[in-house]
Amino acid sequence: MTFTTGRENDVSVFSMDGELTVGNRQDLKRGVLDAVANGDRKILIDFAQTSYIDSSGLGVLVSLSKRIRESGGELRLAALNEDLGTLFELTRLDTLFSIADDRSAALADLTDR
Amino acid sequence: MADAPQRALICSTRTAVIQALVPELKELDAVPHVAHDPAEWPREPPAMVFLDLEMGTQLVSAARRAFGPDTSFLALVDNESASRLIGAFAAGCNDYLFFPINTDELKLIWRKHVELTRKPAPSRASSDRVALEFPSDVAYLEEAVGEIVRACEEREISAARARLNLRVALGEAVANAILYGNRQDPFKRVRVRAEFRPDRVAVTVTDEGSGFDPAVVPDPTRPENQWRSHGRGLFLLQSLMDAVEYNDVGNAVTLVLFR
Repeated sequence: MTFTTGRENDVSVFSMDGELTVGNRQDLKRGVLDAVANGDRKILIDFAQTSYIDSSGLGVLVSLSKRIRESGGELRLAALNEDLGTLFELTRLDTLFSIADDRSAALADLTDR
Repeated sequence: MADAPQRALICSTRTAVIQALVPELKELDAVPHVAHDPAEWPREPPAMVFLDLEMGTQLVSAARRAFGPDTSFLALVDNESASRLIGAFAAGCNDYLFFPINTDELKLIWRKHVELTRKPAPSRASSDRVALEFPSDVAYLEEAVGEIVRACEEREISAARARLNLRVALGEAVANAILYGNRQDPFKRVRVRAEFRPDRVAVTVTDEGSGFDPAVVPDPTRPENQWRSHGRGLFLLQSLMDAVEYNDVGNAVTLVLFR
């Protein structure tokens, strides 16, 4: 598996283990959509262990964000490294996503709600 | 069709492999020569070298050094040696054939590499050039991109530019070649050639597809396109490179990074 899942209170946490690319993006997509189908509404994806996301990976995050919104849920991304931050800024996806510096900040933000 | 009979060198110690290949090659009007020891290889370059990966991938490098660009290199793999295939491609193999041999597949490969194309095989590494060739499968993407990025780092190209700009842009170009250019057809190949010059690095990715028109790709940063799940690859590629050039057909893209 390319990610591990966990739960913090009512937040479903996906920790990516390595890159998110055309080769594995469907795994994450399936995992998150399963969680949404099971009724999870607060989703956090932690990229602390991720050095690289390609355009297919970005595309999956966009489509997940849309699906989560449509089901009345919220998505947070956490711990993007400097290179990933640059990619999000270049594609202006930094304006589309709520991005937290780290996992605990994202959790605090989600559980306040 | 070639005029003179073409020579084929078989590098294997396995009787079953040799006994299966020799009659099939004769059937193709080729002259087979069996020698697994480089000391016994012919001086005249054969049209194709069959390399049994059971003997490891170092033999591939040895064969590449021994013979020039007019020779094609074919990896022979079975279930035990399949894990060496990526290494064999990285070392310069042009294609592969599974053992036990499927006669039709052998004919197709012979035709493709010897009778039809006759184009130079890639020279893997010289001081100013690195060339790779691999099948249209995303499983090869990471290793192929990693190899070019490492080659940049060895040539003292700014680590950040190699790691972020080139890695991301090249990853997108190779993914496009595999997914859209060659449509993941296992018989079509992707070629990557990096040229290092004093003032620039130029990496060309070529697929065997019919090409596309880069001008028709919409800007993903425009508000109306922001929620689309596709269409960021080319944008990233163009944003991160100093120059991007396409050939007329649209099946080759050259990424340029100034030093």
